Amino acid sequence: MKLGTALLTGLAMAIFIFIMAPIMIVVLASFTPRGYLEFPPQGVSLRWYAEVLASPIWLRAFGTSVALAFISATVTTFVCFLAALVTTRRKVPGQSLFELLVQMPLLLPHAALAMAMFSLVLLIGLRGTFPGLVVAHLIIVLPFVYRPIVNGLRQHDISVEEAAMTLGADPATTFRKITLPMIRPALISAFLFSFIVSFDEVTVSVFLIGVDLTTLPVKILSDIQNSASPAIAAVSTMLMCLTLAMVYVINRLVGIRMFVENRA
Amino acid sequence: MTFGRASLLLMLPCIGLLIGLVTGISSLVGQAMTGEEGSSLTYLREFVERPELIRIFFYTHQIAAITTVICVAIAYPLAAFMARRPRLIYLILILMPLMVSIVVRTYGWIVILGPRGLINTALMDIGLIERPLRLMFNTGGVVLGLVHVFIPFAVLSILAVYVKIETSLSEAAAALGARPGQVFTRVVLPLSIPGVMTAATIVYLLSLGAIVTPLLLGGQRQTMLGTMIYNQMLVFFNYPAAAASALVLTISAAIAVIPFQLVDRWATRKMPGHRS
Repeated sequence: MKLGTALLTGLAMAIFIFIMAPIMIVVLASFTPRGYLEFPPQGVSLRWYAEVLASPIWLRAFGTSVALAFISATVTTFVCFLAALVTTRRKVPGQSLFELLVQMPLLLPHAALAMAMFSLVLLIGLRGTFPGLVVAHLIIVLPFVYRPIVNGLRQHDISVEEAAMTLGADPATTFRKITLPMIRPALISAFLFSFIVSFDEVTVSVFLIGVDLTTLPVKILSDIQNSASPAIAAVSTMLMCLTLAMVYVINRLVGIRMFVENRA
Repeated sequence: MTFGRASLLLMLPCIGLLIGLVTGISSLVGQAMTGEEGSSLTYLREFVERPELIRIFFYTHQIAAITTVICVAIAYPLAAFMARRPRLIYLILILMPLMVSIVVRTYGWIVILGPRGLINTALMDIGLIERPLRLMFNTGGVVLGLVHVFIPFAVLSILAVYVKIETSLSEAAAALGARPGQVFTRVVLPLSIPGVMTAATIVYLLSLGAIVTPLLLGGQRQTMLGTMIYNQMLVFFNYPAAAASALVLTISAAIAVIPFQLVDRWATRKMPGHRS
């Protein structure tokens, strides 16, 4: 058994290296002083970071992505919270159809989902506009938001609310002082996860961008196809730092474990 | 708090979004059935008539199948390891790649496999090769990229099932005299099958619908349905053709995951204490 454990540990470490290597190598490659991508970099320079931070195109794409992710996460967290309050506490006609549709964006192959979102956005005349991107992202992130909120609501004990009401609290006070604090970790988890999903989304967005409108991942995708500029590595590295910060925040606010349990 | 009939109104915003989704899908299906002269099945029929479309169709499913097998084979021991040693750092190592955009993760492979990438530079430096090897723009590159991008999903699916079975049941089996090998083959493995099937379903669906990874790591001959849709839309501007491809993709995906669901149900039914 000792040998088995050692083998398993060795294998696990090898897989972790496989998972992390491409990410780490991008970070190292981003410090190259040369005009093209090379590895290992000959020397260390922050040239490409300066270039990216001075570029209005990169900054605008970043701004668009942040705004898009923030709006999508905020709106869907609110919308799903309202819906989940109802579905977890009373019988809703057609509930299984409702939940199947909420899960739909996860079940459809991504390329097909992208086409469905393109069709919708084209139909309502918002192709190539920011509101069009928002509409599509609101729908895409639904399953990532609904599930953690439902799990959160199911876990909490309704009898605590009833106790509060029996002791004389009116529904509004009960909601504010009992329900909301108990459900808060689930709401934060839902918000953060949908923010990340929306921020990273590229397959759907690539069909919806416009002449002067692009998101950061789509801009990275088109740059990879058209150039070998190390600026892409610098942008990617900055994104990874943001992700690490996000992981830290999530762990402080709700704990990574709860976050993982909720996404499955 | 009581939730009367009026509370159903709270669901309206969410239902509004779902109506949007259904509208999008219906409109897509409508487009797929549009041909050059109004309503027809021209583009759908091409999937049985044009050999290159048939080839792309099967190639896509083949890539998805290979990716699924490799992903599960790698994810299983890793999940077993993580269940045995529940450390936060391991979870973070799995979770962090999930939060980095697919574009960035795929880009990492270009830095490694590309003509001026890590491997080619190293091999040329030590004089083993004179010219860069073609490490990407082939099937191997696409599969490698897809496995890498989707492996966290597989690990998390298997881990979710594994943490529930690992300790109590395997200890009980060992206490009753099962050898370590037997504990695994008779207890842990059968009980983990649902997690494996969930992982397989997710990875198969994700690989089937992938656009970015095959687009960046595949070449002309590695066109998958996803990249074909991308080209039909953004290179040839042929919306009905792309819609037809998306429809074929969706229907074949739904059929392809049926075996996974059947095995899952079969394994669950065989579990002790299962109520059916």
